[in-house]
Amino acid sequence: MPQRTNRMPIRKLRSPGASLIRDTDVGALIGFLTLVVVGMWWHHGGMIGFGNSIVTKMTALDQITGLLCSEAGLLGLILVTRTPLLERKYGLDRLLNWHRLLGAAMSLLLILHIVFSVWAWSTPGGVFNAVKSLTGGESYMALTAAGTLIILLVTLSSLKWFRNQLSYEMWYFIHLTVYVGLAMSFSHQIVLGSDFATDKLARWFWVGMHVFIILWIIWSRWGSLVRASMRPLRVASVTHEAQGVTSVVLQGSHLQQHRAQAGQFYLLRQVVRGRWWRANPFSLSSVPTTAGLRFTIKARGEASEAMTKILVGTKVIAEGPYGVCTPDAVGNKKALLVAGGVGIGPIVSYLEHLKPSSEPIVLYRAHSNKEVSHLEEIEALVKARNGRVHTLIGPRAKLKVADPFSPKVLLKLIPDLASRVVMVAGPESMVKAVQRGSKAAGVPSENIHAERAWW
Amino acid sequence: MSQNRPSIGQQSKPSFARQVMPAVALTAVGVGFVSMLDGATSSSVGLTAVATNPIVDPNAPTTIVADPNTTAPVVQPTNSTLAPTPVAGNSAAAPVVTAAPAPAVTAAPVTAAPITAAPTNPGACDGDVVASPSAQFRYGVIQLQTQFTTANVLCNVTVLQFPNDRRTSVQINNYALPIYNQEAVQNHSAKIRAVSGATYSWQAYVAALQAVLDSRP
Repeated sequence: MPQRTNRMPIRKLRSPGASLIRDTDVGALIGFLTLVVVGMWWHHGGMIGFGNSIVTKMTALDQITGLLCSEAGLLGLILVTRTPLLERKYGLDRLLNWHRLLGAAMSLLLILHIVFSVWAWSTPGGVFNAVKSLTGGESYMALTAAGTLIILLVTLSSLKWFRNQLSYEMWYFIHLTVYVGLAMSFSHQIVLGSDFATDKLARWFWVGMHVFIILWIIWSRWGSLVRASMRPLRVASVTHEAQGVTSVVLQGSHLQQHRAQAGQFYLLRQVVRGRWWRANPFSLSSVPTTAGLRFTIKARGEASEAMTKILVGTKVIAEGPYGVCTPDAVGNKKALLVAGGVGIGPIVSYLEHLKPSSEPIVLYRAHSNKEVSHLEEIEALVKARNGRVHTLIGPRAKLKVADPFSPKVLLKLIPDLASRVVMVAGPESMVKAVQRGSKAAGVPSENIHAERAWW
Repeated sequence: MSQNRPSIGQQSKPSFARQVMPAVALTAVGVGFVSMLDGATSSSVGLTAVATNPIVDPNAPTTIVADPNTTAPVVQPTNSTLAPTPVAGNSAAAPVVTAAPAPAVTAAPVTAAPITAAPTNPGACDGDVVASPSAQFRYGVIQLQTQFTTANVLCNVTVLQFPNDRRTSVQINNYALPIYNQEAVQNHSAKIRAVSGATYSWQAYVAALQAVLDSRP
């Protein structure tokens, strides 16, 4: 009922609740899975093999690497469910980072698993016969070998060099096939895996765990997309801010129920032919209110350029919000906000949220005057909070100091830096420079907050 | 409900109990679960004494079965038999009625009476025929029949029983057991290498064979 929402006063959206889980819970869960997996292997006689011939040694190693490989894969899948339980604790960027690490661990274990299997099976008939039976001779091994190939290809496509050769869409499509690969190789675990082939309880536990994680993925990962699709937002306004920089405001009658906070980001998906199937992350550039969500977008690539050219009235599916780098981190302390380029978007949203007692100092780094956006807005916000703005504009070569974020320069500009909470948004190289500089200037690392650049 | 919850990034410090309890609970569940699994551990091969040993006269073309109630199993104590004869684990066709599994050999296998006729060739495989105890392992039972030369050298092994209730078991054992038979005869001992993928069968096989060899003078 749009009429009623129009009459309602504009208010800030409620903040998403903090996650209920703790670091120790995550540790306990990982420990539990490892305990069960290793315990299963041990209890089924995994260690006995070491007393015997090379074959039994290899068989034992083959089993444990296979089991741990599965565990790493499953944990990696849980991370990409984007479940709020984990996301609101660690943030999507960290989850994706861990996903990558677990993926790498899984692939290494997979390679070891293959080596040990071939070794173990090659004793009577030679390596060739071993490969033959492991790629088709044994029941379900043809399927498994194909699945393994898919998983290894996906791993290969995620290596930095290959990743850079592929377009995002191509890479993403290849990456999705990992589900097929995992499903194909699951069969051999149940039929041939000596831990599951005969032990009913172990088998049901293993199958049950897989079913649970599949349901979790469907509900959390794909379900959130379905829920977001059912309540799309619309582009209310598009404002040109600076060269190549545009602000887009999204509105929707369902915003009343939305929970979001300054500093978070959404995955936006234009419902336009040829674009609906890809989502790209964009940070909020103002405190989210019932009046709308504002995003400041710089045309950097094909996807973000398309977003800057979006037409008013276009339907947009917004998944999120994600991210845990919010101005709540400032608390009752004073703040230093560092923006680089279009990183000014999230900084504006932080500023709006900050209390007057935070006396924010904003460092705004941009390559040229044409890139500068939201400057008047920032000046007004900072003035209201007894803070100040320093701009640092120009190409790096023309700056007066070699490293504008060296501890010396920072401390000269901000003598009370060590007692401030530092929040950074910008290109990765700048974020790193600021983190390094402020750490050296005496800011404890828990008071330095940065989230990967999304816009 | 979540109205009172702190917003993201504002988690309060958890109490000690809150930090430790999940780990303790999950560890307990994990340990409980693992201990409930089938323990196929080092003593996974249990040998069952043969209650009624088939006494086989190697000179007779057919086998004499001790238990008349069972349908006659055909045991062929010939040198050429390397392929095992599958016998259902617990069916009436079993040549041997196995008692409850015992952790160790409780009775030495009974050997056939020595042949009185003087052997023409001491190397010929026409000595005692001995059935092994049933080796109980994770997938079922393996029982062997061995034959010795008059010089008491192991010269033939055939398989009386092996697990055949699973397709995989049949596949694995059909492949591995002839290899074990061959190796045992070649080495005249239970010192045989495991065939990969058939390690459990190997453990049971070796246990059964060793029990027979141990019982020999």
